[in-house]
Amino acid sequence: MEWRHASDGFDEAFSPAGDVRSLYQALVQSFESLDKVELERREQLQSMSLINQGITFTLYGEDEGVERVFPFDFVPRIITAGEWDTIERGVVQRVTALNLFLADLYTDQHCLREQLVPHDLVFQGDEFLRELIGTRPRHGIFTHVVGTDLLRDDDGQFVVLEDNCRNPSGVSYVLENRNLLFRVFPELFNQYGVRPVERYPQMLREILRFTAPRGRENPVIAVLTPGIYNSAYFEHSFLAREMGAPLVEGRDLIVEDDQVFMRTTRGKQRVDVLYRRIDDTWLDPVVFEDQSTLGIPGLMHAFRQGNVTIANAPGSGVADNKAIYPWIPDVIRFFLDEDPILPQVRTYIGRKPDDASYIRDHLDELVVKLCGGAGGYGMLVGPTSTKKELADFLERFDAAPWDYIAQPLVEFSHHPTWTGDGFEPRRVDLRPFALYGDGIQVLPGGLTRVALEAGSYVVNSSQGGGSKDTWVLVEDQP
Amino acid sequence: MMGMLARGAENIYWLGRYLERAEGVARMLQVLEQISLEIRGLDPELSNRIWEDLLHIYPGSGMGAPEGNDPDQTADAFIREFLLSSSNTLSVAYSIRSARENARVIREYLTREAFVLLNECHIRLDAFTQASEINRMQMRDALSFTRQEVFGIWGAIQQTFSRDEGLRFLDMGTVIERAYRTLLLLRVKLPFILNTPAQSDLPIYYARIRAMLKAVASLENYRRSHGADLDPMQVSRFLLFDQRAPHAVQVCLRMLKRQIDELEYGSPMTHPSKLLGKLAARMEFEEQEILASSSLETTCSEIAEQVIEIHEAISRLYFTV
Repeated sequence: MEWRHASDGFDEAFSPAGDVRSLYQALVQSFESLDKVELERREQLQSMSLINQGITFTLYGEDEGVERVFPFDFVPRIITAGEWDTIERGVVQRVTALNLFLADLYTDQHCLREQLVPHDLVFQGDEFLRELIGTRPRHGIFTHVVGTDLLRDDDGQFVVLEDNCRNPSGVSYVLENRNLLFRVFPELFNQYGVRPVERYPQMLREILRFTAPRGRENPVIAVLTPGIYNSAYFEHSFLAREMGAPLVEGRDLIVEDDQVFMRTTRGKQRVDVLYRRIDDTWLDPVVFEDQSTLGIPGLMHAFRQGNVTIANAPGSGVADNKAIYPWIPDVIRFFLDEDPILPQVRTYIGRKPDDASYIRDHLDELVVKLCGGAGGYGMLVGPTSTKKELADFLERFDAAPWDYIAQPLVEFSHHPTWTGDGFEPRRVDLRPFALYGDGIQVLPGGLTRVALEAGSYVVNSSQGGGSKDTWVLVEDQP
Repeated sequence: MMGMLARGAENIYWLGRYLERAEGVARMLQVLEQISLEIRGLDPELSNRIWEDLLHIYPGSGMGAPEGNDPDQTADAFIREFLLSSSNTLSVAYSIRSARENARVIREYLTREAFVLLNECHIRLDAFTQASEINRMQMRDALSFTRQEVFGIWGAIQQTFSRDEGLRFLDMGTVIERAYRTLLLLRVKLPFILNTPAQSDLPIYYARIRAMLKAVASLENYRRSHGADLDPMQVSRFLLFDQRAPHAVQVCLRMLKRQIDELEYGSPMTHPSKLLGKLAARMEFEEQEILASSSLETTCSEIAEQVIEIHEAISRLYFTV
């Protein structure tokens, strides 16, 4: 079987000379012991398994409502215990700082008075919710679940690309990928001690319980979903099932006397914690989008009264606004008096005239992102765009430069990926998931997304990306 | 005591109804195709017309009576419509798709085993509905595997489901659908089987009684209980009252009552419970009167209406909080 290594960027499995790194030798040998027919058979088995189990996401746009399988590449990505230790410490540090930042923004605003972050960046974005000024969620935790997107630079160092403080998705694939690999390629685990990920739903339930309103000893926890046509619906139902929590929609809930109730076969029953997978805008038509049929009238008032925990707390999005991102290292230093453990990518801000001008002049070299965009929507990858795409994008950029940030094209690391004919290098990123309750825990591994097309940088599920199982080793190989 | 989410209960109830309906329609299509072939040489016109039974037992499909006289074309049209049509809300494909949608909504209540089997069934059947060309043999295969797979889903449900409210609502949906279809079948077939046929028509007469029993998966059970003697009143009693017949109306109502009693244990009697109690008592204590009624098919119609009332009362009480 042919293994090709990356000609540019960091290859996680091969040295620049093309030799298999010691970490990957046992893995490569395991695959080498299988012939192409057997690999194809197992790939088919895994595809059928994904389809039959309904492990899907739902498309938006032209194919709205169509369910797609999130492609799974069976070559696992391996992270050493030492590498993970740095990632874990870095993510914990970052999540701690982001929560302190949010708590400060909604109360004392020291960080604004000290001009740590420009006022206008905070207040002009839709993510900052004035309605919540003065609100302190239980234990001061705003972002109970955070997904931090990481890349490995040319030296193999993990770098923060962005934070996801609102509704980070993908953790269901982490668990399902591991299950799938256990079933389809059990022999791969023979020579590696891999840290388990199965405890995630229990961890999530524990942190939700920890943050329940005061006096609620046995809180009722529910997962709030926009419904069956949401792209991440599979994940919502997966987490509800795995946590043993009801999966509710807005129409299942009512607020009375500033308390939240769900409609059950035995009448109304109080809900204490909502793990919501619905954006702020749609949470409460009384306070936010009055056309929202997804939300629950009165929910925000119940939240402000401390009668219901909403995880993640509304208004958390201000911490992961792409325009705020360049200031996060300063946020870490300000609140923790520490230097960031994980570096991040140089970022140009469309609202700064000098940066905007730089973005215009170097559009073909930059990755430009819409500050409020997610899932790769509204993004331009300059170096791989056509002249027309660049021109069209420039028009959109000039209409609202303040909506954009730009970063130099950071080369992703590459990882061997099965193409059907052999193993070829494909670009990967990593999203570890942190849970904040009685302390911060990081699920060992996280979601490795892979750009399945040769040469592509886009790892998003909706645009041709796939995923891999991510192994964090219990201890480093001798 | 914590109740189940009302919308979840509604979806799981309908999951039960749709699974039962899918298997029931598939079985009915198999039975009608067989009886149609069996009597074709004896009565070609009836062989064509017999497909209309489907329209009365599953009313509301929007399909009209067969137009031509070619039994093959008629069979083809009916099987295609009731197996594969995506617009016919009574077709097997529609029911399986709806059951799967229900299952997706309440996946947190389902076990992985049950969901995977249902999803597999949907995917397999969906491939047939998407196919540009599908012949009769393939449709027969689709009917067979759908029934087998629905049995597999029920097996997975029974083996793996938590014994809680969810399973009760699923069972309630299943038995209401089953009782209702048995009653509609009786309403359609009784006028024929209770009339003594001419000697020359006996082969068709008995073929139709056998088909009727098969349509509710009861021929073998009936023979085990009563031998090969197809006495029409005995058959009617069997399908209405016999505790050994899983599709008998009284069996279904007893199962429904047990589920509702468990659901309402310790609570004041509810409207569905009262309606069901009244009907169950009638079935329990008025067997002879019912069987002796001058128009048994009309009585079956009335009972079917009462079953619908119970369904509506359940929906109002549990699903519309």
